[in-house]
Amino acid sequence: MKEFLILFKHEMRMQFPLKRQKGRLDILGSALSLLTTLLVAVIFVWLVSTVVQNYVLVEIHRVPAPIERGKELLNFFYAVILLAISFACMEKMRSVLTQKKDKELFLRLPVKPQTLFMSKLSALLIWTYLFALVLILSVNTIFFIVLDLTLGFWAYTLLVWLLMPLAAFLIATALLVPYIKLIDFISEKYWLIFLILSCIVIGAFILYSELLGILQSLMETGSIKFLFNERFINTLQWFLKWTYPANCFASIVLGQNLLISLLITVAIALIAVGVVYFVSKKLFYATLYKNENRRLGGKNKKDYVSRNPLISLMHKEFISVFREPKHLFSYFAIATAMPVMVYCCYTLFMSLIDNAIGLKVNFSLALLVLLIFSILTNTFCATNITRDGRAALKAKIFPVKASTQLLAKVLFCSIVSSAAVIASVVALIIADLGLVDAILCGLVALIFSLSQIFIATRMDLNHAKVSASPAEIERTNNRTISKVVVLGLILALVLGVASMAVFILAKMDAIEVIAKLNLKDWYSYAIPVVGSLIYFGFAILYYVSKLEKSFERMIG
Amino acid sequence: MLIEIKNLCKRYEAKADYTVKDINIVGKAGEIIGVLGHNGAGKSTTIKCITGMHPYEAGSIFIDGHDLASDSIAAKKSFGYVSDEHVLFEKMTGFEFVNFMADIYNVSIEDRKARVDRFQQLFALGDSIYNPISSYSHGMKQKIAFMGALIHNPRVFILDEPMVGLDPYTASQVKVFFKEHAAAGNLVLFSSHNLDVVEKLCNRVYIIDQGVILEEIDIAEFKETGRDLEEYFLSITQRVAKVV
Repeated sequence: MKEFLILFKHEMRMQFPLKRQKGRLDILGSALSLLTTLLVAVIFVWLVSTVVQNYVLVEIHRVPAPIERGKELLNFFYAVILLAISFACMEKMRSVLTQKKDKELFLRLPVKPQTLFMSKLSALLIWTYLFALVLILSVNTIFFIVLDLTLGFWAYTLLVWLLMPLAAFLIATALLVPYIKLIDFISEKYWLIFLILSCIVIGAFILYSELLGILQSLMETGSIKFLFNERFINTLQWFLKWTYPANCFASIVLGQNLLISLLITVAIALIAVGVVYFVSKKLFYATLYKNENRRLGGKNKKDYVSRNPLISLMHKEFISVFREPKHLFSYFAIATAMPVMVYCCYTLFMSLIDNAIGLKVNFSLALLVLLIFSILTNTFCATNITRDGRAALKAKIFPVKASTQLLAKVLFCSIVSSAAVIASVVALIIADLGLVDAILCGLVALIFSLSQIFIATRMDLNHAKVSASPAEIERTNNRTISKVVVLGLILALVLGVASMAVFILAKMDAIEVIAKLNLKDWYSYAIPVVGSLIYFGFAILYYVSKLEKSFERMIG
Repeated sequence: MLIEIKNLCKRYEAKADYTVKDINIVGKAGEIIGVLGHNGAGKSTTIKCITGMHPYEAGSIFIDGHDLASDSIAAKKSFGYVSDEHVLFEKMTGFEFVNFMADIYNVSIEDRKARVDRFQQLFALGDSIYNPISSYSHGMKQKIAFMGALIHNPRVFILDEPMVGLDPYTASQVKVFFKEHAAAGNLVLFSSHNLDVVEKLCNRVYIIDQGVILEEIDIAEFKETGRDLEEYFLSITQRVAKVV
């Protein structure tokens, strides 16, 4: 029991790394992350409550049935929550079962495998319950307010909360073996990972822009009831019939078909406990003693290729990004999705602004959107030095100038960034932006992107900490990223908004005060062009200033 | 002289005490030199300064006649370095890493082929050279680090605790290689706290403690005195500890 408690405590620390780290607090980064979380939470609650409010009022054959509609929607949300918990749980189980370092450590300790297994499973169960609590509580609070339910609703909510994580465990366990096999299959097929990640990012963004589209209709009409027609509701009802056990949870929480729903869910929960225990135990023992030394000899490239040092350094950069799924996602997948993001945002905001002020500020809007997304894509460059870890110091022994070594990193990022900008320009042309406007937008965005890359790389070099603790490295990296993003966003907003404002004011020459300013349309083009060139000049100066010295001084 | 270090001083923070002070080391072609000291004596700091990984406050470092401060590229071309940390570019395969290092040092295709074949045999690497470095054991990483450092056949071979993590067979092969490399008119300089290895391999040894060189020993002359290196090393380093 003592062994179990020690291991359980260790697992809990791994699952909930709440311990406060020593060192300087990243105020900017924390504020940004708090603001983003708050914004997402507010949008989520507002959107869900608006959908619920509108949906429960829908009448079929002119018969109002708010509780029935509420149940359908609750069923839908529970299905989504169950899916989310199941997937998160499955991923957690996979990492728990296949953690190589952990495994090596525990194999040496005088601990029974079943004690280790139970400690891991218990910590995972607690994590799942907490994750489910956050999701169920947010959705149920909205339903409680909108449907004006009795306090009994909360008693049933407690029951659902107790049962749902067990059902999620069952789903996760059932899918775990094929999931692990799938991950193993794609783990070194980097092109496939790249395609999958790009599709996920693009899909998620299309979904997000669809949501924004609904939001736009809501702002224009004050209602989204037009979405919920009879056909939509019939399709939803048919789909929900199959969403076991989410439909049972919806029935329980509203006190309908209580006995049968309870019987089904309790049975699922009991099966879950048994299946989860046996399947994951079997898997755990299998992976615990599995020989991890893979032999890939013969599969990889064996040809000798001679490259000049600059090209070879760029090739090394490509490999280190392309073969690390984390980097692949945060750079290549985001850069690939950038044209879709630019297209969606541009078309959406173009119609919004057109409807609001009756003016087409296409160039300025396209530029603003393009700049913002290129800043987000180039955020990755703020780890150009530090992402190599301690190997960054090894580069100091190379008989290659620091300027050449850093140029390889800048060039590599510039190629990725330029490709994303050029593809985005094509997307803007498809979205009906004039050819000249699109090309000018692209040029400004290219200059701006290059400036961001220079500044991000140099900032990373100035603050590089590669020998510190992982937490300290992460804190320093976050601080650098925050600075680069905030600087870029401020400048993009200044350039984009100034260009837009000048364009709008130039059209308002009927107003005497404005007419006196004698503003011309072309000013809206000149401002971002000149502004980005000034920024580029500043970025180059900042980058080259004492570059070799800074590289020499870097000791991690 | 292939290596000439004069009055090297290094401290990690301004106003802090020097981590190493007034270090003087010389090494000529054909020699194997050991830098011997306890943990934290200043061996790694000295080596990191020699390789250009750490900047230094005072003194001069010449490698194969090139000043590391004013002619760093030529100086760096003259040496190969293996650190004690086995920090490599983990996403590359061993083969890609060695090929990358060959590009950095402008090694011709013919030379890199010949050297890779030789080291593959020396270190008994087989096909595992084509696996990702991230999948390697500690010893395997050490072997790949050796290959990367030697791919340009450097005149000066610098190593920090080179025998750590190597299996007995590879360790013996490495010792043979050190002797061959030195005999071919090159210099091998390594740090260690393994007295046995140092005594068997080196021509000269620098004993370092608390950032200063306590003594330079010619191993052949020392052996003639019939004294035991371990006892002597402990006696002089403990003497310093007592004084401090």
